[in-house]
Amino acid sequence: MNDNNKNQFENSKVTRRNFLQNASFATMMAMLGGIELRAAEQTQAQPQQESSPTKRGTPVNCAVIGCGVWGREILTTLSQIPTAPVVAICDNYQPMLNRSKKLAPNAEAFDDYKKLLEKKEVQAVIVATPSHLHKNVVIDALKAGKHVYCEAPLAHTVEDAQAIAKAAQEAVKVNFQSGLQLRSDKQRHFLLQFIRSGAAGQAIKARAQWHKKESWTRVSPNPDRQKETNWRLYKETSPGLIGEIGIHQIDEILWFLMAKPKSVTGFGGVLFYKDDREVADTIQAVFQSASGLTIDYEATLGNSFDADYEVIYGSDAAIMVRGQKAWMFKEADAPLLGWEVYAKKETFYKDSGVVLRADASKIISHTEGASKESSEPTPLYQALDAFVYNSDLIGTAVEDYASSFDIKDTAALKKFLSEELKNKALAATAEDGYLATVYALKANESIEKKTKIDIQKEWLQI
Amino acid sequence: MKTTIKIIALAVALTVTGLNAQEFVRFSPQPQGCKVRMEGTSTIHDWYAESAIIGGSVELDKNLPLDPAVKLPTGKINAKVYAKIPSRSLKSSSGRAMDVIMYEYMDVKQYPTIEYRLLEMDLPSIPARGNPILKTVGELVVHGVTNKITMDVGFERIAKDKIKFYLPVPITLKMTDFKINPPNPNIGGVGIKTGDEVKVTFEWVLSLSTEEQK
Repeated sequence: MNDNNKNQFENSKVTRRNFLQNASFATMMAMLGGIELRAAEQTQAQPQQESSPTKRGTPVNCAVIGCGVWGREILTTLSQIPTAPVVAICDNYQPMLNRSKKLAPNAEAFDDYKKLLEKKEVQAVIVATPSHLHKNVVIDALKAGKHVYCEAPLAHTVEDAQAIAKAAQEAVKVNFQSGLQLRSDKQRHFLLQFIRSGAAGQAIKARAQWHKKESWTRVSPNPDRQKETNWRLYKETSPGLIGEIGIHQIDEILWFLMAKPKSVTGFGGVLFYKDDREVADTIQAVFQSASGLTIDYEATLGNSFDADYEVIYGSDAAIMVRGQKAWMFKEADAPLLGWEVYAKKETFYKDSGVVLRADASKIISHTEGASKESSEPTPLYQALDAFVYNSDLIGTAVEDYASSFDIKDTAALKKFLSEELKNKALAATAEDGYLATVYALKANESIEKKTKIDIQKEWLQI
Repeated sequence: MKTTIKIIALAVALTVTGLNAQEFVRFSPQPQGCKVRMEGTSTIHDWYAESAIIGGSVELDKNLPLDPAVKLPTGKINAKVYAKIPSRSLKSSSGRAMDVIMYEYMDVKQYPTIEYRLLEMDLPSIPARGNPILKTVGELVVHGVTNKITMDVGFERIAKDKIKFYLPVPITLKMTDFKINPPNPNIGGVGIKTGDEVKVTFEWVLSLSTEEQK
């Protein structure tokens, strides 16, 4: 350690103990020479509408249809959004409703979603049923004039996904958002600009993985509900690991790189869980774009090593995204980027990195930053917050428009809304959700059929 | 006989006059041609709020020439004007958070609409260039409070079936005249004071109602 480094460590008063206690992957990456990429902190003078949701809009009465594990996660998140009162919940299995009532004590409980949709006070619905049950619920909700948030994937078949996306695009008067939650994450939007600016050089390839040791089985109270509860495990109802999990990571990479796969080749099988499941517990898929860029994806339920991340490999740098953090690892021959001159530099062990954070001048700020990370809104929070905000925006705009103009003139209404919604919150559209679903479902099909699938243009049309 | 003719002539004249006095052609606002903008100040920055919705209707004396090529007569114009703006449709330059604050100060739940009714419209002269300027007096209702306002309103006959009213020079209104306290929110620990005065402009394009065109 040279003197400078020594002083840096001494000044920051970081002990080995507190370093290890507070160390996160962020710290580790910094030590390896990663440049942490973060969205800019807001200055105090700016209004808080982007960071604080408390005054972002007027409340929109929400309902959650499908109160399984993920539905309850959604309820928990909605309970933290002041403008998203949950007025109704729906599930066809009473124990799920009972559990959900604890999270939404003021909500009316329904076992039939159609009855819930009849309630006028319900303005927006979040559809968190199993993927294969999305279609009827979403289309009926749109017909009932409700704003709809449909979890990703849109459906378990391309045909169903297409029907949903079509209905969503035709429903001009309401807000539709697909559940690609990463598309609402401000950190991702920061990275998007960064990557598209060419900071990493020419994109060569990308890779993503999701590793977790969990069986994906849910405890079923009785044999009758076994298949219904474990719909993810059976081909008839499941879009597979890549459809349920990989869709988010693959969509993120394709979105960042504006890449359109022309083919996908998948592999996989049930390698570890020897129960009656039909869906692979370990998979790999390679997407190839027209430009030759490849995106490798792999996932397993059998091992948790290295968890989940996405990496974009450019000719000048690699950019790794883990959760809501990201780092840039520059090549030695990469040209100097302008912002590096102004950014604070740190030296850790043999490598040096530049931290893009106002308070990150010392190693201690890395450790403090790591603890701050947990308080950042999750992508799900940001996605639901955006959904409620946009639903309010569209709902009130349409209502106001109808008070003065002919609402039947759809073309004029669309034009009006396109102007009114210029400042809408970042959110995935029906088209985003549809395309991501097609790519994921075709990858799943490729894994099942053990063959390469060429993406047909007509599959990409809504 | 002469007396009979005189009575008939008088009756016809009265009927025609009556019709002239009562008959109007009705115009309806067009979604793509409405814009109202108010500009204000605050202790941190100037701001504006806009709406693209101005509902209501305009009825003009049937005898008023609508053809842009025909010269307008000067003097009083028989017209009925009613305009309404959903208060909530005003969107501020400071984002949705400030919109919500603005709506609170305007009590939009209790007073959801800004309304205007014309009392008088006069065309004193025809300018050598540009559109004629109408002298108007009307009642403006904001926050449930009615104030009489005078405006010099530009009038453009875009086509025989399309007209436009606009303010070439902004009018100045005071929030306190409508019993609205200028907002002074605390955002991000910064106390903001909004100025009382706002400068208002609008553009309002209307088309001959379809019933009139039949």
